[in-house]
Amino acid sequence: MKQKLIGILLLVFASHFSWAQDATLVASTSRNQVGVGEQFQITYTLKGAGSNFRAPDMRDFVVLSGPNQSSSMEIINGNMSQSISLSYIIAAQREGKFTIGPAAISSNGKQVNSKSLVIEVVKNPAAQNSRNGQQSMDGDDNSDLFLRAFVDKSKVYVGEQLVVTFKIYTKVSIVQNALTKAPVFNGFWSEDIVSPNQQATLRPEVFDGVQYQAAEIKKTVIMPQRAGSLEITEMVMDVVKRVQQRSRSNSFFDQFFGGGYQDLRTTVKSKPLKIEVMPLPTAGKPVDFNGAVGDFGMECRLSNTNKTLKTNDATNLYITLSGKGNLKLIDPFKLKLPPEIEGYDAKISDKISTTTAGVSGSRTFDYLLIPRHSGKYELPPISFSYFDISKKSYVTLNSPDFTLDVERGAANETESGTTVITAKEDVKILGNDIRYIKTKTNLQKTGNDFFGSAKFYMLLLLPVLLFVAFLLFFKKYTNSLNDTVSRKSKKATQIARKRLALANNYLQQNNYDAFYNELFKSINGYLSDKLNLSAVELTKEKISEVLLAKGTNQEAINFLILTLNKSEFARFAPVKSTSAMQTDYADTVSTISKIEEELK
Amino acid sequence: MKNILVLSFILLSAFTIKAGENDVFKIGNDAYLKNNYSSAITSYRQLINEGYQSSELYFNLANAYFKTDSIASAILYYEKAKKLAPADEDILANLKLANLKTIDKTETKEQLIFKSWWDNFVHSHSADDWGIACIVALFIAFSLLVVFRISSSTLSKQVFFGSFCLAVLIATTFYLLAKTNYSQQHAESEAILFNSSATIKSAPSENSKDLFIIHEGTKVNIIEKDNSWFRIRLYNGNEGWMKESAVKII
Repeated sequence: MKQKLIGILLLVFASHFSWAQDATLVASTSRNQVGVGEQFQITYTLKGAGSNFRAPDMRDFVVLSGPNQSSSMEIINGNMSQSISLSYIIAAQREGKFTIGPAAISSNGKQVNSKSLVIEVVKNPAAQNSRNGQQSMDGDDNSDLFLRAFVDKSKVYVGEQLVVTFKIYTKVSIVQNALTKAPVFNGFWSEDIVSPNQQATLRPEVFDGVQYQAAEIKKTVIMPQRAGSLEITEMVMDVVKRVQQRSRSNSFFDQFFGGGYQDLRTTVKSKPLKIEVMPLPTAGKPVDFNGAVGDFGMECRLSNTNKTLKTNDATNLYITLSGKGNLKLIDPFKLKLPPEIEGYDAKISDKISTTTAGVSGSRTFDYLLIPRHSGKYELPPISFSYFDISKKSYVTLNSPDFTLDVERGAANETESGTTVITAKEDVKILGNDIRYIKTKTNLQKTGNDFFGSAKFYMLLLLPVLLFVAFLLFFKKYTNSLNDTVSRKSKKATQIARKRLALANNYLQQNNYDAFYNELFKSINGYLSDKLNLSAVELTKEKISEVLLAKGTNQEAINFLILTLNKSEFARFAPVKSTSAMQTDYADTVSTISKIEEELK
Repeated sequence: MKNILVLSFILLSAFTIKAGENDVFKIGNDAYLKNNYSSAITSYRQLINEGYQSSELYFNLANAYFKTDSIASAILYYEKAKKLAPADEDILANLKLANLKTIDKTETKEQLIFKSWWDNFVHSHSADDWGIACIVALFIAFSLLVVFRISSSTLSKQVFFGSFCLAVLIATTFYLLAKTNYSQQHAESEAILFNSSATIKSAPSENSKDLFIIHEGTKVNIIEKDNSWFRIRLYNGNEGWMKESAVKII
């Protein structure tokens, strides 16, 4: 970026150049506003080849000098461009707004016109007359020196890049400059392309139709971080400019030795800029969207693609994002690793360049993974979402699934012959959550509690009542039972008598079997009825027990048992002796009467 | 004996629930599993509005409230569940987590192991179940007494009378269990603050002096009631009056 003034060549304007390039003719003036009679300069600059210059219509002005020709050659980045300027020094005659009509030139057979120039002529400009003596400060009259701030876009999305440029324009030579107040990019992330401490190079530039020397002071790529109307504050510079002294002290030497210059200190300010920042659309915003805006591509790979891994061996997962956008603002991914794999924080390496086109390049996240246990692990796919400015929509990029095949490493293996006691691991707590709901329940109606109700107390009372009822019934039953027993025992003696009479008959007839049969029946029947015992219960032990309980004499019981035994023995005796029949009969009668006596 | 069996069967069947209610409970559980907590809450609330209760129902509802960050409601229903099952570990664990989310410090009493066993036992069955058991035991007791009266031998009489005494003792125990369970369930002495904060006053009037401020989810003990004011006590012993409308009774 060098400007080289090759020289002033006094060429005829009609001379033509060897390269065929579209010619442009730019008209410019040193001032848009002049006083009556004040001198100023208009210049027509031809870039490219051209001939046959036709001077503009300047009938409202007096041409004091010109046309004066100058030629310059510029080589920028190896491209050569040549320009020829033609200037007039003119002065206005009366007040008003005047138009200097377009100048024209022929280039490759076509006519190229310049723009018209509008000059406002005012009456007796104060500046002209008041400039007496020295002036140390040149107030705010900065028409020959100003600072301009501009952006390439004024309406952007959050995160979208834009370029802001601060340019100084001057018509005088600058001796010295210093930045006194840098602009504040509040709410923006910024990256300088051209910063104020770099050497600024002045280059001719036409702004608003006026020819200036201009230089970029600061050029910055900015990205708004929030929506709304954001402001870029002004930039303030302290400039020392060199102006030609309009001293009227007509010292010959002063003029001759070029002493008519003066250094003036002045302050230039740019205007604050307003940037309209639109929020990103909420519709269709992916869950994992993290504020990336631009145009990106993603590449994910594991460092060990072909060999299987051993436990405690490290592997790297690289995630590379490349493209144009706010790369530097992209945070590391949150990997959802299985708990058996230890993951470390990402190492970030950037290859990012900032140019006038914006920030672009690539950012790589390097994750170190160490599997602690063997097995086959699925790494969940990594997804990255960004907002595409050109499509005005969200884009989500997904990596393929990764599978880590981990083999048992040597460190964990047991050596032969020795026992390796490995440290026990605590159960890893992965999270803290409330306990899960219960799936089984026994729902109950509220409000109609059984316990404490009248129904409950009635049921509680019921067994007592039932028992009372039972007692009453039982008493009646036993009473009636006692009645039958006493009736039976009364009849017992009668029946015994009848049977004994019958036995006596058989005794007379000497009928042995019938006699003992009847004798046995008489005594057993008597005892059965008298003691209220069934035939089954009628054993000797039972009889003696019941009789004892009823308070019968032991002697009488023994005699009864003896008699019973005798009659039983005689009944089943193989030899039938009739001699004992008489005594047995007498014994039976006496024992019955004895028992009868005892039971009374 | 046969009559008693039939009677107790009728009593038990009166308290069994139709299948429909359990289906609603299951719908709520399914919604909870799918992280659809608000529809789970709707299902559980429907059951409560229909007049059903169980410690599990309250517990699940509280879980759903917890997941939707309604901490005061979660604590209220954990406390309700705790009233029905005071020693359930899941309820205590989740209540502890919910209490961590409240602003005010809450005290968690460390229960004696014996006390938690006893509570577990008392609430292993409902008051009604214990009541039915009490009636059944009493029927058995008097049946034994009947047998005692009928039997004639001294030994059997002794055995049956001893059994009768034992059965009466068991019936009394069942009654006391039912009574304890019932009174613990129906005690209305605690409440949870639902307003985001409440100023505790020195008297039941708006003009009285401010004593202290409690925040949402805090449990208070209600000591007495005066019109629409509660006299409350905090776990640390601080006492004061507050509006009845700010709290919900457990």
